[in-house]
Amino acid sequence: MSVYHIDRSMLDRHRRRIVRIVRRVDECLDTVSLYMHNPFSSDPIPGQFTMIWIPGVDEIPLSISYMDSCILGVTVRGVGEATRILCSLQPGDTIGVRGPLGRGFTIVKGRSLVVGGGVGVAPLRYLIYRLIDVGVDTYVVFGFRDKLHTIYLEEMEKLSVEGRIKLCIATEDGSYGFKATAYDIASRILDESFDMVYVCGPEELIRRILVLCVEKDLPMEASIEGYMKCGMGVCGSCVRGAYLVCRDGPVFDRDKLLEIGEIGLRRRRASGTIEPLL
Amino acid sequence: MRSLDLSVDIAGLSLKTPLILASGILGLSGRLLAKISRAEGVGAVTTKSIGLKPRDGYPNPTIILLPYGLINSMGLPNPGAEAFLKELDEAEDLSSPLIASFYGYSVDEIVETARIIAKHPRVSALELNVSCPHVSGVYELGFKPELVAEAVSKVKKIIDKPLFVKLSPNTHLIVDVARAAAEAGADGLTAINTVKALAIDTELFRPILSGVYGGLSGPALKPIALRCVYEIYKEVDIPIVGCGGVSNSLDVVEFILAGASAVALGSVIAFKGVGVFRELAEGLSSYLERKGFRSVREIVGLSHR
Ligand SMILES: Cc1cc2nc3c(=O)[nH]c(=O)nc-3n(C[C@H](O)[C@H](O)[C@H](O)COP(=O)(O)OP(=O)(O)OC[C@H]3O[C@@H](n4cnc5c(N)ncnc54)[C@H](O)[C@@H]3O)c2cc1C
Ligand SMILES: Cc1cc2nc3c(=O)[nH]c(=O)nc-3n(C[C@H](O)[C@H](O)[C@H](O)COP(=O)(O)O)c2cc1C
Ligand code: FES
Repeated sequence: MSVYHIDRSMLDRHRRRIVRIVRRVDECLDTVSLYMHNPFSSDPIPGQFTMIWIPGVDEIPLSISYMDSCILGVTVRGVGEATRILCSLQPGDTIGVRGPLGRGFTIVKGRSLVVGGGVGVAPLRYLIYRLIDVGVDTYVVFGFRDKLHTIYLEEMEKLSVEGRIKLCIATEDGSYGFKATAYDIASRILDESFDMVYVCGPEELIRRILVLCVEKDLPMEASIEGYMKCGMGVCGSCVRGAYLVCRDGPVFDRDKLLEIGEIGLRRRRASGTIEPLL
Repeated sequence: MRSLDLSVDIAGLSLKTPLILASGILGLSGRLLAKISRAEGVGAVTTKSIGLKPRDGYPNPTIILLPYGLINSMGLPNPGAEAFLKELDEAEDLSSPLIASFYGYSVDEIVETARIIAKHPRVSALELNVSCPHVSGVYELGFKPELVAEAVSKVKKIIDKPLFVKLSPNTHLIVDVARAAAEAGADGLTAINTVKALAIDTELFRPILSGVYGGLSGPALKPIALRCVYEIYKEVDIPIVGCGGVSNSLDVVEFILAGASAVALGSVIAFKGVGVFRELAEGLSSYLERKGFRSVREIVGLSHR
């Protein structure tokens, strides 16, 4: 606690550090992983996010997809101006980073099901390594549009071959793995033997898994999105229901997701205007 | 626990405590405003400033955290007056008065916006923002006593709810603007909005905020805000909401001693969360008890004796 009541760790997390990209990996057609020297002074929890500043363009939220003592990784899908510019960056280019921000996933011992769709697999990758580290029996279900949009495929298959996770990949058109959605597979696997269900991906996926977990009375956590501006719980831009995604989330448990209610149904634009999702 | 009654009456509003959520702090969502209104220690909540049309605000970065406060250049993002009425429909179980903040680029737009938002039954009072330092048009208005007076008298003609005017510290005319607003019929004044400010990234040699300039809030602002409240209290007779850098209960006391009848909390919410209302209400209560006072009213402006 500083004399001004602004605590050191908060100041530290919100300082924009200019870092150099040391490595880029093309994950698929439109998705790139960027690696940089770890700028954080605290160890992030899986599910926490960063605000990535592209000077002169924008500052956007990205989940932490990789972390070791020296390297921080994010995985970004080019969907608009800022993300496309990020996808074009090369080793040596610089960006600004603040974080780690928000509340991450809770690690629960026992058996866990990790369900991801599309670029939503980004925070789950870091989570999976943590689950493996603490000896959780981890089932992974990832769903993608088609083979050309798969992310972390080789890496997950290696973990599966080594017996460190059980893996199921699905594509909507069947061009790789099962011809199904992540929801289809997850709904077949899910039973009372699981101690925790983790989800990240399209809100439709989160909403349907939520319904399932309520039916089966299983604990669940999902990472959701809100329109981030301050990232520190003051501007109100990221509000979903009556919660702030930047501060109370982005990871919420089952009861909070139910309370928020609007998952998969509506969201807010930069102006705060509500737009329907269905 | 609080034993003392902290209630205050200000400009026709009855508040359980003198502590108000400042405009632009978490105030975009009806559901969230209602939740905050139910938190212990909250006297009233103020909405984000609403304009006639939707506004995205500036691209990020829109905020900088410093050891002594924040600089923001949100750029008044808001969904526009009509959409905001629907937002207020969702503000169920409000348990404190809701003050709707609004702005416009001209007197006509101000009047039109006031007409739309004032009709919502959940709006207890309005606050005219003529002081946002990073949106030109809105910013300059607050330096012109005659324009503020014109806007206030025209708005007062069409609404039947109390009207506050939120003042800019970025002018030596703050007392003149305050007086003009009061003479034109304003029911209260909120002092102050943020001080125009800048921060530069020394690695990249460029201003950090995409809007370049921002407004400084938080602890660094407190002595300036306190001076403004003190000066206005000397010259103007309508009630004042003190605002700027409050972070503990003695800050609240200082503002009230300087002449504020209520105090708005902004940046401190980023540092301490909404629980700060309860903390400050308890602190204010024990201060009053320790000094032998029975109500907040007894100490309003006491430092002017
Ligand atoms: C907590 C969190 C974690 C995220 N993690 C990842 C990740 O790991 N990988 C990834 O590829 N994407 C992630 N996203 C989404 C990513 O932030 C957006 O895709 C990105 O901001 C789009 O910016 P743009 O300029 O490229 O696109 P635009 O054309 O500006 O917008 C495209 C879409 O992104 C949304 N968006 C734009 N700016 C923001 C913002 N500041 N906050 C939230 N949404 C915004 C818009 O509402 C729109 O729907 C995450 C979002 C959140 C909230
Ligand atoms: C992120 C942010 C957004 C703000 N938005 C508004 C706004 O929309 N309208 C307004 O009148 N004041 C706005 N303000 C100013 C605050 O209401 C308040 O006057 C100022 O921050 C000083 O109080 P504080 O030091 O307690 O934060 C904003 C302040 C911040 C930090
Ligand atoms: S982004 Fe500002 S409150 Fe969450």
